[in-house]
Amino acid sequence: MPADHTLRVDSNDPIGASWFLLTLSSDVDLPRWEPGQFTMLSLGDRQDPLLRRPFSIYNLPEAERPARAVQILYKILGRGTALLSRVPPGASLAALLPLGRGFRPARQPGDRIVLVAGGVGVASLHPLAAFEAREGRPPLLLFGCRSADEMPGARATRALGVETLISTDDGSEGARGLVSDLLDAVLRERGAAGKILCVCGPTPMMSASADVARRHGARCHLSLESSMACGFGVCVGCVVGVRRGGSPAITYRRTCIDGPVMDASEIVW
Amino acid sequence: MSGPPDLSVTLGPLKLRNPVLTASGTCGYGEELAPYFDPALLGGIVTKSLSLHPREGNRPPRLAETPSGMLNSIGLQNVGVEAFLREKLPFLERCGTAIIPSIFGATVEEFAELAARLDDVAGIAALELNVSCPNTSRGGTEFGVDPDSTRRVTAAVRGRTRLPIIVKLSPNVTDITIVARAAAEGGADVLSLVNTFFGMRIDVERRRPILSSGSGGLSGPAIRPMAVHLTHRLARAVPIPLIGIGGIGGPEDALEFILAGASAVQVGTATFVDPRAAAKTVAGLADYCRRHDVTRLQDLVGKVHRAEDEGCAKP
Repeated sequence: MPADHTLRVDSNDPIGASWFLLTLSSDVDLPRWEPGQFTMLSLGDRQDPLLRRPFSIYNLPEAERPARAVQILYKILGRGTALLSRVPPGASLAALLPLGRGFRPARQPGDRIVLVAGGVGVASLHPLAAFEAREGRPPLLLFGCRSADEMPGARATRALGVETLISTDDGSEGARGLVSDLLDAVLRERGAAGKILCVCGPTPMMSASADVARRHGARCHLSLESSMACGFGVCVGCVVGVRRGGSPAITYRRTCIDGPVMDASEIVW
Repeated sequence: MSGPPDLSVTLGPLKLRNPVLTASGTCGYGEELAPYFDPALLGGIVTKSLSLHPREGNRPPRLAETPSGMLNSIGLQNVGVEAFLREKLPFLERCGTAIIPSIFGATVEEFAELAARLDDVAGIAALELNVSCPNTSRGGTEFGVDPDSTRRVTAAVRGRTRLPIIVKLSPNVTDITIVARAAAEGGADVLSLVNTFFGMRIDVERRRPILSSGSGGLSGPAIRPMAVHLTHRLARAVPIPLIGIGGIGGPEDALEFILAGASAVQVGTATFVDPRAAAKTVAGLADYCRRHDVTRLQDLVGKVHRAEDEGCAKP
């Protein structure tokens, strides 16, 4: 069951170009979450900005015992994240968690997960990488970012022993170009059979990756991003259009409750 | 003072355990809030607006944050009245609080049909008529800004239901008292105010509105002073119980509306920020009564002192 937890800021440290790793702790056991679930984090007791902000939960609870720490990997992208970056250790923040539907890919023995991360989208995929690594089947990571100065954002995921291929917009590290093009090349070289793509990043990057997946006939799950007011289903503001069961009709599904992870083949871009 | 303060409220034919309801469109059909608090703590739940048939709502983006507030343009996405009765009402009935469906029609006849459909259903305490949604191209706010339409819709619903009728007023009018009187003439038992104010945000980089629909409805603390003002004004203009709405997030906010003349309040956008906001408001009202030796909260309705009574504004 999700609940509102008051968490203490243990650290809130920059890790390279405008990226931060926030570590929050609780005095009590936290409910278990699954990779891809998120939290609605308060920015403190303020009315401007009014709304909490959704963040993927970055860390994976240990298998044996409940977590008492929550990590959030974020990048300063707007006013909310800029304010968050100035929250000092010792402060308290309210966090509604765990929210949403995470990664639950239906899989056959031998299937391999391919993580496709656009920038700070790696935050949603990292706990899945940790889970897969713990189960003894490390995934493949395709990490796309602006330039080499954002590479520290993927350091922890690579440290899990995950094979990693890089693309940067400016070619300063790895292949020059879009990570969706890198995905296309990887599927062409290695084939799409037995691969399950799990994608998170900016919407144009996810749309392009979903298109690549469709062309290769690859199974593909997206962790969608959307503006949210509540994060638990009541505002109906974060919807995405989906088509299901071959019907031409578009229905609007809530990213927060029906997602954030959804089947790429259903999304209407 | 002996015993807990009496928070109960009587709004014409509608009796509530306490004056705090959750506002339509901010609490779904109750289920999503149940993990966070016991709905029986509330005075009532006003559901997401229901139409005769399911509605898909507007294209995203549907949200835009604003200073101390937000714009929405949901477009009344809802399951429709039949699915509500089949799938949603059974849960709500078990909540142990007053259930008030909000209804929305594109025509007078649709409002009347909805009222008739809900009239003999067990477990419903009242109906709220959403004549003031700013986010639909047809119907909705067109009724709420026009006194004659408001009177006709209310009268048509009155003719088809024995349930108490709450008419939710739009603030997007020149004189809210004119529409309020029309609703009263049509047979409204209670008026709730206010629905959202029209608002717009523009993405200057793309030179486009942020909301897919262009404009939307503004809610949150930003509108509270305007809503308190309208409540205060209306309480002195019509002899009909009022429910105050607009940026209420805690007991002090609720008390502003109560002192201005509202018998009850609805908590809306604050629930998005804190799912327990309405329940905390109830608890805070009880605390206030204890601190101020108030035995019956209803004794405070409309009891704001006039500024001139203080004698300090005069030279």
